[in-house]
Amino acid sequence: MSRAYRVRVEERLQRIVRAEDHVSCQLELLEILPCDQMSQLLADELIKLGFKVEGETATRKEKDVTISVDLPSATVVVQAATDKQLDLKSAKVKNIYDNQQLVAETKARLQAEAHKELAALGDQAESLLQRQVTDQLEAKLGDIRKELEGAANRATAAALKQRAAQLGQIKSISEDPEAGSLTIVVEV
Amino acid sequence: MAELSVGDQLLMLRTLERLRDTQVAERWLRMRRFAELPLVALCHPDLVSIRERPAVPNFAGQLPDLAWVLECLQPYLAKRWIDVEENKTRIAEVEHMQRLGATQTALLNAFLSAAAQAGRRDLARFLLVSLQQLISIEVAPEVWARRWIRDLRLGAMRLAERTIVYQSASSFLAIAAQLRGWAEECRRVGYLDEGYAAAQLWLADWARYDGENVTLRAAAMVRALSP
Repeated sequence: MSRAYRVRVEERLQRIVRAEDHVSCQLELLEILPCDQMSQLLADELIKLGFKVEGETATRKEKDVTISVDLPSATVVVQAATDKQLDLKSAKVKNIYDNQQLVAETKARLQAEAHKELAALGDQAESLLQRQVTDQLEAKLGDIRKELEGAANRATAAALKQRAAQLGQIKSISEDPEAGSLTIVVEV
Repeated sequence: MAELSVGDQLLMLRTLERLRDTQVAERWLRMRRFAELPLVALCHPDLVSIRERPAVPNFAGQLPDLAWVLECLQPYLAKRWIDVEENKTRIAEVEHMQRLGATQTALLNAFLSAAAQAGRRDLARFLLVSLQQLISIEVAPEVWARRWIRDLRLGAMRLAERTIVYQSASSFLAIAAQLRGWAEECRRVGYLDEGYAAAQLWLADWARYDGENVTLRAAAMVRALSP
């Protein structure tokens, strides 16, 4: 009488996948006043944008994105990071007929196949997460750049006003924020 | 292989156009001597970019002989570079984009340098024409720039790696900065200075093809693609 053996294997993969990406750039901040004063003016503008200043670094966190500004050098680092808990399962089934000796061998083979499949799925999930993080970072960069450039421009304008006041008596100040122009008339 | 005459180069160019997308053309283009022919490279930067490393023609040495041909080919060159850029917006493979970008940068830098040195900036008129056609004045630069990268298969590339690919995508747009520099130089050429007539010719082309607005837009697009 023939006998059929059903070999069934179930494997599970639980792991945390992490993805991170970052970019750094420099804000254009003219040295109109000494470095420490320029840093303070920049810090004042960044605080208005929700940054927290600790020592020489201003930081703002929004969801998975962290923006850090080194005040003396005006270097900006924007970092996005996230992680995800993976819980993957793989089940393999094979029927063997009239050969009990093959059962162990088949089970080992099916387990290896399941491990390989889970590893590939894990790598795929990690790649996808990495892509999502990078896409998220790239999408936010445009707005962040405009915000920070605005802050740098306002800090520069404040520095110019302070410097003008040091040179003499300010007679008039006219600003056109849209055109990005500032005219200060000083009586020396 | 002896130096080819202008007539020979024209024949090679026309033959390449007829044999485009065939194995014969591919074999020719893999030969450095062929890919370095100025007319072939300038008219078909997309085809010569199949080489691993860009083949850069000796524009400086051959420009005096080729000037009259390049004058006649201006409309054709403009059309070709517009086609190359339009096709670039459909490239999916990152390596393809990087090779094409590197080829365009090397070619145009060599050509513009030779043209400026020879006092023949007018031979780069096709670049102004192409830029004017390619760049939209109505659509915001950061939106229009995305056309060049929307079909790229970036996979899990990090932003730093994407930036390098985007630079390749915007390699032609980036040339606008050099053309702008030419306009500024030409404005400084006085009436009694040598090269006044050539400077005025460039400024006339600059005004005719809206160089000021177009190059500002191109610069904004390049910035939009540089995180």
